[in-house]
Amino acid sequence: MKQKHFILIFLLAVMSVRVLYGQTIIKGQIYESSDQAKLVVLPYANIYWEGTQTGTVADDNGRFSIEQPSKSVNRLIASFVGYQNDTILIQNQRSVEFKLRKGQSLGEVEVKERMAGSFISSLKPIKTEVITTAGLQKLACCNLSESFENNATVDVGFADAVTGAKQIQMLGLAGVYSQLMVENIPFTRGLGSAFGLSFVPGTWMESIQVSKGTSSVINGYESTTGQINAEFRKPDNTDKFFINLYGNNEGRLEANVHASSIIREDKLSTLLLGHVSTQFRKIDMNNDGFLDQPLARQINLSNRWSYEKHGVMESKFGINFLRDEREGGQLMQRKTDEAIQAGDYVIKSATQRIQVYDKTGFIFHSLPNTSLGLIFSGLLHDQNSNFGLNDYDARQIGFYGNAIFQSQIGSEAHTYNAGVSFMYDNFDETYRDSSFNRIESVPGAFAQYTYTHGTKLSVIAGLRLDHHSIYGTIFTPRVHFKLALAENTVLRGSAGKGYRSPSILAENTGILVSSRQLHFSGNFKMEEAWNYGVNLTQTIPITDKRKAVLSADYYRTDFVNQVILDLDKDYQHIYIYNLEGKSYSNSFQVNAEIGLFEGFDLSAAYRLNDVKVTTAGVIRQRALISRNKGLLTASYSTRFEKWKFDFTGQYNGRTRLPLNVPALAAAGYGEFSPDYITIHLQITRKFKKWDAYAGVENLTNFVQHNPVLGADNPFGSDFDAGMIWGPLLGRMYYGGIRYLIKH
Amino acid sequence: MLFLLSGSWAVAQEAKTATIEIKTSAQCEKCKATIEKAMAFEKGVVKSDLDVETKVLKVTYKTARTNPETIRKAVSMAGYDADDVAADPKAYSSLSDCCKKPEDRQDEHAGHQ
Repeated sequence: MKQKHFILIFLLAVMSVRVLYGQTIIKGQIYESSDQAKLVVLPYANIYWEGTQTGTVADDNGRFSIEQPSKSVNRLIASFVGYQNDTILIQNQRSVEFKLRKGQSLGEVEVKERMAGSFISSLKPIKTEVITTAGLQKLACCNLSESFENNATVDVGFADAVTGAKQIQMLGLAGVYSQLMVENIPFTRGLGSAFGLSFVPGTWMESIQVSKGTSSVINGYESTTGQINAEFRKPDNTDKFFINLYGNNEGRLEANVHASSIIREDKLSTLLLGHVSTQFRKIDMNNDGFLDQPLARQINLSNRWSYEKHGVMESKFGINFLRDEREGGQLMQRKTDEAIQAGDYVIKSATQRIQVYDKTGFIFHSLPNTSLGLIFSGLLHDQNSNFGLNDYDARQIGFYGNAIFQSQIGSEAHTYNAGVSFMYDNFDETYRDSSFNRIESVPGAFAQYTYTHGTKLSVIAGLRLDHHSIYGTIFTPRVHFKLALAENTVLRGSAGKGYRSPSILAENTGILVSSRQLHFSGNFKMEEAWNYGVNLTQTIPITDKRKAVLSADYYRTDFVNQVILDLDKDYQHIYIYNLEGKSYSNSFQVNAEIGLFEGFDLSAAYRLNDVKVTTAGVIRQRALISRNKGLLTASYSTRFEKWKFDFTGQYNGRTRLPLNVPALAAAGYGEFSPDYITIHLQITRKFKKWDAYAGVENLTNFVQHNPVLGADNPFGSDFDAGMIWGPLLGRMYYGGIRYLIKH
Repeated sequence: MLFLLSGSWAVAQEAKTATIEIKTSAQCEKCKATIEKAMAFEKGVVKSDLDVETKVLKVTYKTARTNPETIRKAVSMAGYDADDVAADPKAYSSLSDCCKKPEDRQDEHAGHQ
């Protein structure tokens, strides 16, 4: 274990604070009209002055500020698709609050009783699905890796059969090709890739935004296949106290506690987020002597601060600490230390992470729509692990800084962002007796222009230029557009390039739990791909209160270079090399969501992933990626959500298995893995101050058979716990409570 | 856990009910929703209906589990006067503007478009 370095770095970041010059600036916030005392923020609504073209869009927190062009223009309107417009007469007040009611009726006053679990933002030029707190609560367990079970865009699966690490996929490609961020700060860059998803507790999140395809150049050159951004609860608008206790029959216990304090109203507030969890029971349903999931302990703490100097600057800063330990492998008979002594196959991993961050936005009153945002984040990640006889130790010291200036040219129709960024990562990895040390330092600059023609058309064109200390100059062009074809029909498109620097060992725990020899050849180049996509969203109002949303999209990713893990050449090796030949993914998805009757929502999705890659010299279907997927979700809630019933059903098609693996044939597999269906159910009952929930995951009890190949001889040549195509955990029952105290 | 809940419900269903009428300070449809929601989560309350015109709230409750006094108190805690029980000041102050009494309103809403 190496000496620890603690580097404290301070930074800043940005929020899209829009401010305006002139005599009168109206600031405000938009909420969903709700009959609860707690207000639910409605992000991305439109705000405009009646009879004018002057308007703006609220930010992620529903906040906006808008200039009043003259005293005679005094009716401010807020609108959002699926909600009724609201108008406020501006006389002398400088700050307003809108509460938009759901439904599109004009005259009738409608009472909003429920909040959608997810919705598609109709305004952003980049199609963004927003998973709300209500959506996150539909599957009560446990962290970010479980948040996508009822979402067709993102797939989550186990990375291997022993470590419990989960990985996501978008467009049929590994999660590393999409950018995972927490509050617009890259989260799982480098070493965080393996277990990163389990480092974000479910209850900490207020919402998750998911977008497919390349995203804005502002956040970097990554995000080839998509972007996932999780927003945590905010110190200035969350509950005073919240606790969630969760337990399941497989021996997982979890507690989440949030406590917030407003130190000075509208100025300074703080929030403490805590999470402890443990997997204490040893489970081996398939009797292969290996634990189905590792024993685990995690403690995760976050202290967040919010500071605001009204109309001048806003700052959010904080510190996160995490310790995560897991022990898995052949532990059914003995304790960990004894098992190691006895020569059993054991994996052990301990991870510690400390992160500090600051996001600060400054507002320029002398110029309209002009702001400066600064984001800084510093990370120390330290991992010590053993996979059988192989040791893997890794440390990453990282720094991320981004400065974003935003302003307009002439009018609100033409806005631009420009800025500079700096990324620094010092990796120190040791695997067996090889070390993979490297320093990556990447200064970069970007500019992005946005043209907006009301709600009809918007176009974003962005460019960035980075200089990577290992890979040289990186040029990233990206364009996006949104066109409203009709009132309820929106067409969007995007094209652009994405890059990433590979962190082969950290990103592929599966190759560490295998007897296959790793065979590295050549100098690895940066992974580089083009991504193109179009999508169409059609909203059909059914009645005042209900609507249907249909959408279809197609995305293509074409790799210029990719680091290939070739499992097809021969079964005793994994060849790792730069792409020779073609690698691409075509992803086609259709979705339908419909409010069938009051309180009952139904959604269905189908997705086809055609993912091909050249391995062992031939272009073929990418291994362990399913081509077909279907999703059906149903949600029913009684009045005021007193009772809530959620159903999630998933169909996962077969996947191609790696070629010529004797152990797969011995386990009874052919060319393909079987297809399967999983079902999750949950019931929630709300009381005055608390909620209780209970549910079942994987009701059909389908599990991948023989997930650990060669389990009877883990040090023999057949051992491989990295070929995962299906669920590893059988039917599981859970229950829990949430209790909260409002401010 | 679910079985326990539904069990206790079944027993409670058989209890005797009574209905009271409470004069409130509700102003609009939004207030109706706020009050009816508060009632929905109030122990012992079976049904509630507020008539916005007359501001009268009709509550059906189980006599074994609650009483008119407790129900009036709950209306007060939601931010509204209930007969002679005045609205809880803290709850009242957090009501949205349109739900406050006309003399306390700051903004004038121009109505829905």
